[in-house]
Order: sequence, then structure tokens, then C-alpha cells
Amino acid sequence: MSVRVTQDPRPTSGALDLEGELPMLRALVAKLAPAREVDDLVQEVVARALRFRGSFDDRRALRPWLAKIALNVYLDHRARRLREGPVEAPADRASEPDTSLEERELVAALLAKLPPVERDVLVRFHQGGESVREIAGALGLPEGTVKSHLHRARKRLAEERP
Amino acid sequence: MMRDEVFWNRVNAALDEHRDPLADELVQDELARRPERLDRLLALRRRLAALPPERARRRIGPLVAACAAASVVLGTALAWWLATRPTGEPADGNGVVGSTDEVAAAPRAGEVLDFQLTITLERPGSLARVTAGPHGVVRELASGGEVLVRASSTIHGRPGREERP
Repeated sequence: MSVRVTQDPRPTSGALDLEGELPMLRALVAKLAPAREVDDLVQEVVARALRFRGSFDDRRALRPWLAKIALNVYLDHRARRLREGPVEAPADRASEPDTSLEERELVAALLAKLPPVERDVLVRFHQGGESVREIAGALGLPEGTVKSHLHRARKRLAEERP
Repeated sequence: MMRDEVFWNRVNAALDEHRDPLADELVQDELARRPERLDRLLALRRRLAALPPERARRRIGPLVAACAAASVVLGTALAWWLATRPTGEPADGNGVVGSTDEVAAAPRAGEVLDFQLTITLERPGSLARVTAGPHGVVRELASGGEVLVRASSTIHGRPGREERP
């Protein structure tokens, strides 16, 4: 893909070097979307960046601005897809929850490393559908403590490497 | 730049409210500045979705208890009804019946020949069902298409009330 922004009416210093950022954009979008959608979404990011380039403050870095546009393009795309209904297998979505056997085994291993109370709170909230208040009542803990356990458990789950 | 702790606080706040952290403005800002955090956030989302449904099973415990209680009440009522239902005396009113075979073979007025009562309690990912029939009560507890518990009990009742002296 090549991007030329020669029609940018702003001074040269304000021109967007989108082409130089394409690898970053592709890498970012690839984390979120299935491979076959990456090109379309990157194009959409570029198109949106060009459309809104007037809002870009060229005293700031281009990359975060583009990355945020990419996130929004992805979220809009996902919302549109949800409105239109499921049209693809869950495994085809890069950023959608993957509940494959491999992933579940990994999660089971990670859960086993958590302190029992954190594991209990985490599973109750996210799988049991219990509220913080219900968990607090069931475990005899203050709600704030339940939240702390929940937050720590999530952080460990996110940080742990397989 | 948002510190790691502040970033995760935002993520947690969104998750606590069952919102998508990716849709949070400040989380987006931070991810835009440090896209490498996206990997951890996406890993968290995947792993949360892959949590085992153990607690979901425990969660429907009260439902199972309710089903069990309902089945006990149902069974008691059924046994009581079997023991006390009208015997359907002959139309001539003399109280004399023929052979015992005749009694067993001929349905009497008001006699229930067959019945089945099913109570189903459904929650996302789980199902509890109690079926009461002439042969007893069957309780089933299923989650995610897998039958976890199947229990049955039989109610013994007499076919009719004994003639009182």
C-alpha cells in the first residue's frame, strides 16, 4: 500500500508522513482484527487520518494520534459487525475472546498460580455473573477488598506469560 | 504519560462496569501512546473469556435446591393423592366388585392414567430441570451442553385406598 499526502493544504512541516507509519498501523490493526480485514482497516485509518488531518497538532507526535484513530476505526468496525450480526467464526477474530482448548488450558494453569481468594473472586465475577456485592456477601469480605482481589487477579492474568 | 497502575485502574473500572476497556477514552489515549500495552489488554480479554465455568455451576446451586424442594413437595402431594384418591365405586352402589383383575384392568372415573410435570430453570450457560412422572422424580443439572448431575427418585404409592371397615 502506498500513501501520498501531496494535497495537504497545510505547510510542508504539517504534512503527514503516513507512509512511514504504515508498518506500525498494520502491526496494531493486526492485533485487533482478523488478517483478511487488516488491509481494509488500515486503509480506513489512513482515510480517516486524511479527513481529520486538520485536527492534528503537528507539535505532537504523529504515531499516538494515528494509533488512536486505528483503535477507533477498529471499535467502529466491531460495532458495525455486531449490529449486522455474526458473519464469521469466532476464531477468525484476532481480538475477540478465543476460548480454544489451548487457551483454556493456559488459563487453567494461570489460575492455579493465583491465590485462592483472587481466583475465587475472579471466576465468580466473570464467569458466575455475580456482582461485587454478592461476592462480598458470599465470602464475608468488604466490597473494597473484593474489588482489590479482582483487580489484582486481572492484572496477574494479563501479565502472566504462558 | 499514564503510569501503569493508573492505566490498569482505568481498565479495571471499565471491566467492573462490564464495559469494554478498549472503548474507554483514557485507555485509548494511553494505548495510542504505548501500543505495547494493547497486547496485555487483549491477552486479559481472551483469558477472562476462557475462564472455566466452575463458578457458574456453583451459582445455580440455589436453583437446584429450589428444584429439589419443589420435587419433595410434588412427591408428597402425589403420594398423598395416590393414597386418598376416590376409588370410583360401582354405579349400582352395592359396594361389591368383581375379581381383582377387573379392578386393575378397568379405569375408574377420575383416575389419572399418566402424567408428567416438568419444571425447567434456564440461565445463560446452565439449565436445571425437574421432571415428575408416574415413575418418580428426575432432576437434571446441565451446563454448557454437558449434563453435570442427573438424579432420580421413585415414589411408591398404593394404587388405591384400602376399604375401610
